[in-house]
Amino acid sequence: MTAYQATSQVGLCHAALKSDEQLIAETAADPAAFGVFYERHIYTVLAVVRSRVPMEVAFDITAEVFAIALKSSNRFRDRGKGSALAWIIGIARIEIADHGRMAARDMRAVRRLGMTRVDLTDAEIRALEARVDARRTDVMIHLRDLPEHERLAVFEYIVQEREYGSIADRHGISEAAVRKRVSRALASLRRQWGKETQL
Amino acid sequence: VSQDPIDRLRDELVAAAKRKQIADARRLRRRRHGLIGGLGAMLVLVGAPIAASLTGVVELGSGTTRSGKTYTVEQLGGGVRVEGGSPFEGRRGEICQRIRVRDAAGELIVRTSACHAATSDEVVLGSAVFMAQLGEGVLVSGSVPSEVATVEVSGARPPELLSVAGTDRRAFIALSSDAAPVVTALNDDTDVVGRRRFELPEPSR
Repeated sequence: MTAYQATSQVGLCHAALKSDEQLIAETAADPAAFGVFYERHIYTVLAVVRSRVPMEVAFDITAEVFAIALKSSNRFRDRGKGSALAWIIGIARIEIADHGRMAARDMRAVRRLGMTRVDLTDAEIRALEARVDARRTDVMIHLRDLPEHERLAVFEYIVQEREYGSIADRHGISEAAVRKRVSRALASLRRQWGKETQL
Repeated sequence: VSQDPIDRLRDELVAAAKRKQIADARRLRRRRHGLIGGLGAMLVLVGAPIAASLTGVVELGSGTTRSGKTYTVEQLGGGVRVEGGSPFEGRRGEICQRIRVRDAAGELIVRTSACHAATSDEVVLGSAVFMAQLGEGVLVSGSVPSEVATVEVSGARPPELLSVAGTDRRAFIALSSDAAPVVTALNDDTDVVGRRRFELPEPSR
């Protein structure tokens, strides 16, 4: 347990009960809420970014992704359960695309927020690679374990960034049904990840 | 202090979120302070074309429409009225404001967009529009950074400062009877933080 986790144990217990969307909404009034959101999704974002670029660059991009999310947290629109995760992965996708266009990352949001860049040693890069690979494998296993209709819904909503309405049309079901599928799938994935984190 | 890069990044983000919380609160206080004077008019107005039907409906002052557009309406001598639309950020980062001037009957006399670059460090930026045909003086359109609380214009009452979407600057319009008006920017403690004299451009031949 880190020093941060020890000192904010009580706060985290309360925060852990909140949805991602609530955490983002509360960030302006309670900065620690963003820390909880970060802890929930750092490995997911890192795994998404790492799938396209080397780890040392992936960590920088991930830092920028969370910095952009923090900077624009007041512009986040809650469109139901899962929308915060979809939002941050959307930011990650844009940043990955930007990285392809730019020779070097300029980490604009990180600089504007006055954050110190986290530099990685070779040993840290190796350790992160191992952790992210393990997590990515876990995600794939858990995704595979989901019922077919839930797996499709979460894939189309989060990875392909389709709107609920468009997914509903494609599958000939109601928008509410799509929301329910995505919500169940995310809850199920979160439960699985939570179990492993506690082990 | 944790050595884990994941924890280090989280600590950086939480610290940045705290700084942002303080900065947001400060910005909100400034904005309230700047706009409080003219918020008597809570109106429904003005989408794109400010229609003639507005006459008699619009109250003087400044405010925000339901769609979030800010505006000012100034009553001048002889019933002449200046309507400043919501200031906005231009394509090259310049500050722009659409301005309409109407006579006492509500007829449109002048319609123009005043823009000025907002890249300089100068506190008071802006441009002057010649209004001699109205016999009213010089119309100054400008902007100031967020630390400015009020603006004084020679020969005119203090104009309202309106937020400019996408920037930290706030815009104003003022009509001065002075042929070369001086705009003075003051902070919360009424210290002068910037001053600029607006000269009319030479008429083109």
